[in-house]
Amino acid sequence: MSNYPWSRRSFLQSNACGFGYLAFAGLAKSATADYQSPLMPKSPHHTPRAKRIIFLYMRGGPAQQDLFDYKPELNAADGKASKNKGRNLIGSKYKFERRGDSGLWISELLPNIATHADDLCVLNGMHTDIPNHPEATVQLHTGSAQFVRPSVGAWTLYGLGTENQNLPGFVTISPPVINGGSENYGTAFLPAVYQGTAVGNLQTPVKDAKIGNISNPVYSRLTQRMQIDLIQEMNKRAQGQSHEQSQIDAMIESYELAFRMQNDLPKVLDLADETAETLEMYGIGEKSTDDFGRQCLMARRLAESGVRYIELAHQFWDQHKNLDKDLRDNCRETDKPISGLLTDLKQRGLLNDTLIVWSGEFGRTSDSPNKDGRDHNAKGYTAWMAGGGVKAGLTYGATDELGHESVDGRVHLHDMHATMLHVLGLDHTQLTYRYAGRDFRLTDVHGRVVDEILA
Amino acid sequence: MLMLRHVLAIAIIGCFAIQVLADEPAKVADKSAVVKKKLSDEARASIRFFESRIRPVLVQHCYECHSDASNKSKGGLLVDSREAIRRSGDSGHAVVPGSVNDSLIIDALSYGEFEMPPKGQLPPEVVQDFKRWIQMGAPDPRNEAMTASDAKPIEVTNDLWSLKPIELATLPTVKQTQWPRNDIDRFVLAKLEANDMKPSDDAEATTLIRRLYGDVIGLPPPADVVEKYVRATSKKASLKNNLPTSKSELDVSTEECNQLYCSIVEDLLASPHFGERWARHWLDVARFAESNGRDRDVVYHEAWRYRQYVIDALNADMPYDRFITEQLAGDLLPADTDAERDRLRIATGFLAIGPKALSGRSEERRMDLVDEQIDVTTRAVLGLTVSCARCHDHKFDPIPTQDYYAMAGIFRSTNTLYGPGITQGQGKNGPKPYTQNLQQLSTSAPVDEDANEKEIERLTILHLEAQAEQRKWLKLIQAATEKNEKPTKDITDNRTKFLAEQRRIEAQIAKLKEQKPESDFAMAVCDAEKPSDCRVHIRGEIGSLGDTVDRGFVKVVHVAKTITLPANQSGRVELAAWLMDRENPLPARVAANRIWMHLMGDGLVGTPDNFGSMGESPTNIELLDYLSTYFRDEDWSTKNLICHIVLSRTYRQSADATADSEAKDPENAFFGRRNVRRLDAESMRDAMLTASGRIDLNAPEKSLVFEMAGGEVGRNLNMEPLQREFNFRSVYLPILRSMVPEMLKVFDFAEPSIVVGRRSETNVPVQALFFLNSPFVMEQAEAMAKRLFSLESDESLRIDRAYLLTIARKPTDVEHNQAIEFIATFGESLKGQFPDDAIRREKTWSAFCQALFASAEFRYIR
Repeated sequence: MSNYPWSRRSFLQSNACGFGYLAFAGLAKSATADYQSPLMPKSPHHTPRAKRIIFLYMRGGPAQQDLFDYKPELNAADGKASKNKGRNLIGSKYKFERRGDSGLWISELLPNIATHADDLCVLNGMHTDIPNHPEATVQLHTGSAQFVRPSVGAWTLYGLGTENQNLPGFVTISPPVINGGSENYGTAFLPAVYQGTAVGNLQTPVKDAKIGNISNPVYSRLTQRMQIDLIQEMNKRAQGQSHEQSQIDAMIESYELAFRMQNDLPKVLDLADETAETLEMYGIGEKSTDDFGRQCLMARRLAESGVRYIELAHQFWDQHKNLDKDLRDNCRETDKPISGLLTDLKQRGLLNDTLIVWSGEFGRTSDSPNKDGRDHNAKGYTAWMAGGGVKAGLTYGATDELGHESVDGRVHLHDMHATMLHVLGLDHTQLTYRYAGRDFRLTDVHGRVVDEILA
Repeated sequence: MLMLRHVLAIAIIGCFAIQVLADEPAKVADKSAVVKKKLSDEARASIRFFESRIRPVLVQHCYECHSDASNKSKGGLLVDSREAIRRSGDSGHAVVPGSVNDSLIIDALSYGEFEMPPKGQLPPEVVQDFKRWIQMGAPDPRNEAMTASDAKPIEVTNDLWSLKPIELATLPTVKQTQWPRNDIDRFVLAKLEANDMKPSDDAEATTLIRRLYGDVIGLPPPADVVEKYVRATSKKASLKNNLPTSKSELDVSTEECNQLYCSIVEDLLASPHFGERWARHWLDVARFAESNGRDRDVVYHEAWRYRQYVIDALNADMPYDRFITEQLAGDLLPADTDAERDRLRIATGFLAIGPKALSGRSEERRMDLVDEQIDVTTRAVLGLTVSCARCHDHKFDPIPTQDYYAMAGIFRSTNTLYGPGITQGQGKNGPKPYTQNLQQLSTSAPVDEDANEKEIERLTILHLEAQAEQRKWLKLIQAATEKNEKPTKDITDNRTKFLAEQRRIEAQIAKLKEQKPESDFAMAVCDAEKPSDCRVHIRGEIGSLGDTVDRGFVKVVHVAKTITLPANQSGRVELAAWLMDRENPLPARVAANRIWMHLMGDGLVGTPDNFGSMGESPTNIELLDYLSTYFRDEDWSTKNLICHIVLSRTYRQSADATADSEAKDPENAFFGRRNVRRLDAESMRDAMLTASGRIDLNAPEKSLVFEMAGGEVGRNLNMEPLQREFNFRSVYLPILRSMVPEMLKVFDFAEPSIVVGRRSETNVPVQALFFLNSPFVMEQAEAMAKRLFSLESDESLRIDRAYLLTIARKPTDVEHNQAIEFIATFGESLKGQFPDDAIRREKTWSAFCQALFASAEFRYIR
């Protein structure tokens, strides 16, 4: 099939293959008449519960035993030999309490997030396939560690388009440059328009983050407008017959969008007009929380402005050693910002139609050869969701009593992806794209919508 | 229950989204029914024996410890499928059909060396049944769909158009007999006339020349060539319009025009820039990149050699069958000289440059690599997705799993030399040597590894001495510090001295270990020491092995010649011979379609990499087969086919459609007009560099990635080379899979990890932002503005020149006036910002040049 998602020919073909019909139904006329951007909002498969996703990526593997997965038996067995040779069980040093009306177990390391217990849907039975950072990172973002596949955000844009054409529909703030790098927000075989727009990267503080080509280094907005007017005059003259009209129309439109985007995107990411209280709520200005606080506040502003898929990243949750110190630091750096984000979204009425997902690429082991460390664990870990579409104040799934692996209410990464799409109104088995003679999905042949956690 | 589980697994596992089936279940089911089995009565009886006497025993007494369902495979043995029970466990084969003595299961049931089941020996009748069953050949219907060894030969569903022999249709008769210039035109015109349509007019001179340059060499035409051609055509036009002129004079003039056009075509095909343009099309298909990509983006510092090989091959117009053969089996082909031997080895880089898993289980990695090689080979050459048959028979095309593993055996008998792999985290062994796992080239001086090792040994001793000395002085410093004394200068100096010595030796050792070579190395493949056949991997899993399949090819592609695979070689030479056999209709069709697509803007088959049932059917099979035949008969010459197409009148049509053709054929499936196309990223960048005068049309020596040496993106890789100004043609830009150069990425560069026969063509705001704000565009605009001033002193001529440099034509009066007005008003608006007249003038003209770059006419080729 042709890779031009808006050509009539491809519409006619995709008519026979499920989602293609829905995705392009609105574009049927466009090849011969007026052009419509592939990013225009599209109808979902079913009534969505949320309009957008904010994915809080905790790069590495957060230690679930020390944060959300309360394991009293593990704590009691602290120091004893593990079933795995050469390793001892590591109990959690941290005090767990039942929080809120829902009584969710959350450790003392996350005192601010704990105040939102009644909004959280904690998935303690998560599992994925590979306990190595590089593969697991790519799988978390694309569903496959084995093949090059589109990212979750790209699938989302492909399925739903975006509400605000003056902003990118998929923004990833401070993405990692290793472990797949841009593949984690790439499009693989999907058209490049669904690519994530990167704001900075994980190696630099977000306040110094740059977005490529968003402003002109020489000309002012006013003088640049004169230049654009000249370009558009030339373009209008180039408008020939209707079969090429749509391309030229699209180009003319793209300059107007770009002109607005270079105004709107920096404005959305500029936190200058936020009140002191808001900045404080996110921990902006405090050394430890400034960076992630800014990311979280940017996320709220992007969400507010109609961006479909937003990802933030915090590193590095990988405590093979120095668990106590580093985990405390990580929690300190993210606890208040995330709490601020939840509070802020709620008070602005945005939490209802925003799905928040918090996850690493896997979790950590209950045993270790070190006294103060935990290793990678893909067999059992915790992720949580909050907001539109998921049950609030719920703990779903469990690991065994020592926290080695998930045994109950198991949710595989593919299931999480299926559920994320479901919440947005997309059926993961119907959201397909034909490439190399077959219809691909985010979840390949896997994935189950976790109905049990849907509100 | 067990059967059901397997059937479900087969139904669910696989690379297909189920809903594909939903709309046309009957049709699809029909197509997937590739393997049909007919069981004889005897076979039925033996199956009944298994079902009544054997299976119940296995289920009752063995499955608890030896089945997938129980999640246990004690002693490495599973007995819950035919493959499993015949496969070797830790101690040997449980069941060897026909041989009771070799079947360990009999030994175990008889409580010989093994005692099974451990809870108590089974009655002798049962043991007898098992003996009889094994003598019968151990008939076992389990997992039927997964194995085809018992099946009757495959019944090929031959309704797939692309597998039918290429047929040269008789030249069609046409009504508009004056229109065709060559046979291509007859096929096109016949189709148009059959649909009651007419072709479009010939394109205007400037449009045609710009189109031709872009398509054939990917560069804008020089002004003098355009002028010359315009003069010739305007003479013709004036003759045509001035009626008194005789017809013969017009004919002569028409012929002159045509000859001039032909000579331009000839020049372009002979230009070294031809290879640079057309290599990129193949590199898209060959998923070329200079790093691994995926989760560990390790650089491939030697990948550039393969790129250069492709460019050279196209410039030399290497026959396409030879081109493919060299890439698959160059290392096994005879060579007269060292240089030729090297060239052939470099060609096999095709198989080595793909993205791969660099960590994880080695056997899994190996099979993934094989899969990637099968995928790229079959999609690139055949337009078939053979890798779909890795886990199950192909759902839509007649490719059984057996055929996949027949090919897998060939690639599994091949070693892929892709460099040192992951260089990080090697602990005490340090980084892997730069040269590890690469093919050393014959023309280069050898690396003397023995001498290196000896030197490393010598240095290691020196290192230990220096370290001991250094530590001795350090201890003195620490002792002094503990006593709150300041160590003497002598002590500190000595420590500094020996520490420096230690570091110096460390650096020397590291350098030797890295073996940054004097010699030349290439990514390549070579045969494994012991070629062997591959076993079916049930559901594609490495732990689940089925029957061994003889190395071979996809059976659905018939060739008359019997091709036998040698026992002592991988079989890649034979693979290439089979692929490129004249009777195989696919390679010629696939290649001819791609060439047509690159020149005409759309394929005759809209899915250039998929000629299977899920691909599109050709819009004009007669024309496709005509082109394929021409290609094959002209000794697979790419240049000849390109020449044939661009000399056709079809190619030279205008993009202006008649209202009629637009209504009847909105998608231009019949090529009754020119498709308007956006320049690809490379052509756009090259055109800007050409206009600015900055372009360096030489081929760079090697690649920027070569200069980065070893390492992984994001992990201490030396990125400095990427920051350098790079004014070579875009085909030479460094292609790191996770860091594709911005401009390429923004303008729909082919994702370098996958086979891309056809790029997408998007039109989005980031592209507009790129033209408005990117440093690259602004720099080219500024350089072009300066160039305009050096070329022309008069404003009006400068404007003309600016148009010529960017869109290969002069401005109209309206455009001219508009330019003058823009320069005046824009300059005025910059007065505050740039009070200096000269600077302001430069900024103003830059803005004007930039606007031309940003215009639709620059970006679209009509």
